[in-house]
Amino acid sequence: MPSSGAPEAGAFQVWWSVFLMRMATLREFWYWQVVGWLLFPLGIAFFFKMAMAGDPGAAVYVVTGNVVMGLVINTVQMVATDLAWARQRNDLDFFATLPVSRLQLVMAFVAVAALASVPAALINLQAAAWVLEVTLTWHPVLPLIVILSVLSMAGIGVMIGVTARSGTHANLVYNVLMLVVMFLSPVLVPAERLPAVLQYTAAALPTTYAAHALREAVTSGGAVLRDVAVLTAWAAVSLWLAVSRLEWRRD
Amino acid sequence: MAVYEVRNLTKIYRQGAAPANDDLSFDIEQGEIFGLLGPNGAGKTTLVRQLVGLVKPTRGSIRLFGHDIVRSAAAVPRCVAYLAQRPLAVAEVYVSDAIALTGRIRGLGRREAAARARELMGLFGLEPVARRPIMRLSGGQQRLVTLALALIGDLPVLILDEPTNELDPEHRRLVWDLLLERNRRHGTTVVLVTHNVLEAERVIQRVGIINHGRIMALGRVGELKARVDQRVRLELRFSAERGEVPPAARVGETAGGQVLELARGHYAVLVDRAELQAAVARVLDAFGPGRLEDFRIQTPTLEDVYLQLGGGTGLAQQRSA
Repeated sequence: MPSSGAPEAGAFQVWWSVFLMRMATLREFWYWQVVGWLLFPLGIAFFFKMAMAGDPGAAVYVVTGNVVMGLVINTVQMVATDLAWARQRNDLDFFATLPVSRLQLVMAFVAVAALASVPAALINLQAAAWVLEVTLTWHPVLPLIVILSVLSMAGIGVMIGVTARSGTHANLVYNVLMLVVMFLSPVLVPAERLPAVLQYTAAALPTTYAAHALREAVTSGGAVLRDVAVLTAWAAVSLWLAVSRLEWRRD
Repeated sequence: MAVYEVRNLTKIYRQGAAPANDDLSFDIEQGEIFGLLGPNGAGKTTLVRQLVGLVKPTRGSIRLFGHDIVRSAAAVPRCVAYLAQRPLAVAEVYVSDAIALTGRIRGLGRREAAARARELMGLFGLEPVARRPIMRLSGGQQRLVTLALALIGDLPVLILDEPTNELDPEHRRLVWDLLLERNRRHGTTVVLVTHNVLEAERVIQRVGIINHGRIMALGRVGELKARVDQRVRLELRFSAERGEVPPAARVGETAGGQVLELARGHYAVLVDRAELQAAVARVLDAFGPGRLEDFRIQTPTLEDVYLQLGGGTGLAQQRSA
């Protein structure tokens, strides 16, 4: 089949080009991203400082739960709404008519969200610890946990983004998810304090494992293997499902 | 050699709904400029989206350079550049980056992509806005960026959906000239979807008129023109400032043909070719060139072909509904 004569671009060259295009969205709205990164989680930290002063156990939950909340705010929302709006406006046609694969496109969306989320998560961790006067131990496994948490959240974001009927629909689903993560799962409070039924449902959410792994990593550096395995599985399965469900040209 | 071979192509979006494309069969030959004309809702966009592999047909086949793209459209982006309506996917990207990165995705090296991007920006007068996000440009400038995005990489097939929408006359001419030049120098096959029939006539070599999901007429422009009303059109525009404006009936009687009143004092008279010379003489004799603000003689145009061979039916039906 005739082509332009130019050699086919390598997989990395294509992904990098799409990634750079997507990065432009951060350049346009970075100040709102920074506000989103910091203001909401820090607000929660200050609120809990006032509400449960002097409870160091609860403070650790709030510090690590804050990071998870930040990841949900940044990663899930960014990926889900960006993809859903792009689908609604047929924006993805632009990429689908270029030699770009579904996986390259989705991983470009995820990489941009990760780039925005990982530094924010680490800053949040330190800032909330400062507000709540918690001493952190920076265990070497922490970056891995943050990255896996971002990927598993991104997987959820992509799932919402490729299945929502519109950008508005994606926002509504995200709001429900946010409610579940904040108040109905052991992210900001210990699992034992939740009703039994919520303890079961929480076991299915990656945020539960992300929060647990983070608590272990910043306090004792204890057992995180199960959390890492679950987060890896969540990231792999959700991203695979999302990529396969994305409407695309018929490859 | 056929670039596209489309056979019995049918697309039905919902069971029970009228087909958006109904049993279409045609070829697009290598190196030709093929115009796809039709009213809004005729099925043009559905057809184009199937040609670029974005929509799966309900029935029928599409071959691109002999490859079955209904089974797999993975190869389409390697040889077909598609210009959609607006570059919203890259709205936040700087103009120069969007063009160069699109070139990179199509396989150009870093330097070559940057050089080609500069060249295209120069051609379209986009250098002053090169470091501006696309979304901050005017509609016309955004349209020029989408053209540059389609052109970079020099793919052998270009599918352009309304390429001159929102462009000023100078840029419209530039686009048509550029398409002709690409076609002549590089043998680029161009599929042009447009409403701008009069302007597109400059470049289109073969045309398909589509309406209600079906092809109403297909052929070379000259062949189709031979199938429509062969009467010559005399257009006369009178101005009250130059004297009394004659009524339509008198203009028709004088010219000896069917008269249409286009606006007050603006008439079109359809006369047989054999009668043309006498009709012109009678008109000039009766009214004198001094009373005529404008006077034109026009043989059948692509717009006449479009309106008489099916392109206008949809609008006429909508008006009567």
